[in-house]
Amino acid sequence: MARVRVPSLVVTFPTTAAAMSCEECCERRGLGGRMIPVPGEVAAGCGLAWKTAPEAREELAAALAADGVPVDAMTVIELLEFR
Amino acid sequence: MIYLDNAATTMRKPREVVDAVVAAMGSLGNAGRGASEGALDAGRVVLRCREAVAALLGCPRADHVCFSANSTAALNAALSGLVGPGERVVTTVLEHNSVLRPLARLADERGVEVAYAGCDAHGFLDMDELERLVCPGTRLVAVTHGSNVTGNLVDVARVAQIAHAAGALCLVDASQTAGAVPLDMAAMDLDVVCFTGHKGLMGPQGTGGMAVAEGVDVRPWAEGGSGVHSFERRHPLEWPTRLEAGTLNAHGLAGLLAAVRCIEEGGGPAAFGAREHELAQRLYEGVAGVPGVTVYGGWPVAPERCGSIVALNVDGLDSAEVADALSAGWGIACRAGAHCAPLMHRALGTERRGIVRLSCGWFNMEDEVDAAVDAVREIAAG
Repeated sequence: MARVRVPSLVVTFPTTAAAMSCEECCERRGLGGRMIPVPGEVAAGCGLAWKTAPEAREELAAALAADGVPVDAMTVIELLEFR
Repeated sequence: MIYLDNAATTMRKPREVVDAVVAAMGSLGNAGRGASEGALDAGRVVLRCREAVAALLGCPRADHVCFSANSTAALNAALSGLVGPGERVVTTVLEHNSVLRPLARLADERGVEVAYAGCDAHGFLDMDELERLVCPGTRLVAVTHGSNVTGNLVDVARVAQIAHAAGALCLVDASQTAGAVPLDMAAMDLDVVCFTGHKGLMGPQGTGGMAVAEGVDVRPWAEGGSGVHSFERRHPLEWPTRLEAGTLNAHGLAGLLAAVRCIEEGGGPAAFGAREHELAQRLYEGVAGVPGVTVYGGWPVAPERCGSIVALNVDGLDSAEVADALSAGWGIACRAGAHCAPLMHRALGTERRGIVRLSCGWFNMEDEVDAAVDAVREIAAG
C-alpha cells in the first residue's frame, strides 16, 4: 500500500459526549465520515474527532447545529491514507 | 480486531468474570442495607472481594481495602484525605492526570506545595532528584508504580524508604500494574496503594479502590449513606466505611472477585505480568531498528524494568495518524495522543505529536504481536 495525504475535514468537540453525539447524528442522517483520534496538527492531547470529506462541511454543520451538538472547530487538513 | 490497548482497559475478560457479573445482577441486593438474603449475599461478595484484593496487594488488613469507582476516584480521595493546607507533596513527571490534577487542585485550594521529580532520557524516574526533593516536612510522596505512557516501572519500595526517612507517607498509583506486577504493601512498606479493577486485574470497569496501611489516617472525602449509625450527624470513621459512602458496586465487585481469583489460580501477578512482558518484548524487538521508528521507554537499556507497553512514533507522522492507520488498515486497536500524562510527554518531547502506545495483555497471542510489527513496518516504509 502507498501512503498518501488527502484533504479531510476534521471536526473537534469540547467533550467526548459531543463527539459520540456527532457520530449518532451523522448515522441517523446518512452523512458520511468516521471517528478518528484528534490529529496533533489540530489539537495537542487526546480525544476524538470526526473525519469526513471537505465538501460535506455545510451539510454537516447544519446537521450538528440542528441536533444541538457542540463543536470546537472544523478544520481542513491533509490526513494520511493508504491506497 | 487485534486489541493492543490493554493499558487503557483489558477489553477481553476471563469468562469467569463475565459469568460472575451476570449472576450478581440477577441475585444481589444492596450490601450493608438490610438483612435480606440478597443484601447479605451482596455483603458476602464485597467482603470476599476485600479479602482477595488485600491478599493480592499484601495489605495486612482487609478492612483497610476501600472500594471506589476507579483509580481516579481513589487517588482523589487519598490525596484529599491525606494532605492538609500548606503541606508539601513530592510527585513525579511520570504521573497520570489522576494524580497531577488533584494535586493541582490542592495547590490552588489549600496552598499545597507540589514538587516534581524528573526522569532520564529513557523515561525512568530520577531517584536521586526525588530523594533531594523529599525533605523533612514533606507530607507525602505520590508515585506511580508504572508509567501509563512508556510502561517503565518504578522501584516503589525504594521510594517508600526515601519518603519514610524524611517522615513522609508513600502513596502508590498502581493503576497500570495491579494484577500484572507483584506488589506487597507490607514488605515494601507502602502506606496507600490505589488500584483500578479493569486493567491488569481484568475485572469490570467501575471497580477500583485503595488499600491503606494500618495507622495511616485518610480522612473521608464524601459523606452519606453508610448502613450503620444512621442517627450520627457525620459519616462514620470506621474502616472501610469511612471511605465508602453510598451504595457499593457489588455487581462489579463480584466480577473483580472472580478476576482476582483467576489471577491467583493462574500463578499470581508475577505469572500474568511475565506473559504480558514477554509479548511486549517481542513487539519491541520487532519494531526496534525499523527505519523511521522511534521507540520510547526503557526497553533498550533495562527491559526487566519495563511493563507491557511499547511506545513509539513514526517519522513524519502524527501519532493519531499512525493509530488511525493501524485501526483502519490492519484492525489494530491502540492509543495515540497524550494519554492524560502531560509531564511525561513534555519530558519525552512528544507534547505536540503524542505517542503511539501499543499495550499487550493476557489474552494477546504472538501472531497478533507479529501482525502489529508488520503493520508498523509497512506504515514506516510508506
